[in-house]
Amino acid sequence: MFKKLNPLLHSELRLAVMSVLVNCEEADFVYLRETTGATAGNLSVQIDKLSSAGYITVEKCFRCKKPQTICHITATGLKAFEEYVEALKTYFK
Amino acid sequence: METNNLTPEKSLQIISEAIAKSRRDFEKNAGTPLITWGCIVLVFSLLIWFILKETNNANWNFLWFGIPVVGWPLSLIRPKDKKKEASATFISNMLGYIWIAYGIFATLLATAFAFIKPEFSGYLTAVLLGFAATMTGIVLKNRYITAGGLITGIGCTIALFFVERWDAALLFGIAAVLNLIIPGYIMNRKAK
Repeated sequence: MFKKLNPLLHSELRLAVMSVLVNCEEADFVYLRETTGATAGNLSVQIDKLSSAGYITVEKCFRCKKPQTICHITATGLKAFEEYVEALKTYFK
Repeated sequence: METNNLTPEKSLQIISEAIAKSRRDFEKNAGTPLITWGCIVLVFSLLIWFILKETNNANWNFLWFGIPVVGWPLSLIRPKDKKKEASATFISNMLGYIWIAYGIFATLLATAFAFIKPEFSGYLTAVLLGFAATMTGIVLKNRYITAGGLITGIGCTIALFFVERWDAALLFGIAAVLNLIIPGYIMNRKAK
């Protein structure tokens, strides 16, 4: 029996963002954009969706006098990601 | 890129690729600090070894403090590669903590032994260097770095009984090559 995949994570870009953040303690917007190959606009929209769901937190700060947007995964996001991976496994059994 | 028509295979591929890329980006930047610190340690070791041999004056061991004095400011200079500061993986943070801990303990030991038995400073800090390198190798799953650290730790402990007192400085220099410069070079080459 296949488990239902979380629709919020079952999107190419959001899944890519979450996968990077699971591996990193933090990642900035530029890094996420380069890693996922997404456009800034699309990435921004998807980050907002993940943030609204409480899966990630977005922190705006200055580093080396430059504005930076840093994303962190939350405990809720990590749990959702783990559940997504568990559900994904049922498709390969 | 936004689509919900993802197959489970594609999902798995996205997850694997994102994780692999984060690791590659970390490895791309990981070798240079090791090489920088290794070169500083090597230069100081050779310099101190030479001076100690020539003067036979243990007070020159205080020159070891020049390593953090020169190394810390240099380690703050970062290349203009945005990726360097763009992400912090668990591995990169863990390695950072290992080497900061090494720096603290090596400085403490070197300070204490500079007053008690200056000739032992080089051996002890080299053994600690071997420990930090072994931990680095284990975390990175790199056999060469792990073996280099173990050889340094065991070799320097044995050398305590056989090597002439001032040659500890030379041993520390060799340890820097084995545990910092060569691993740093290997990591940078692997990441290319």
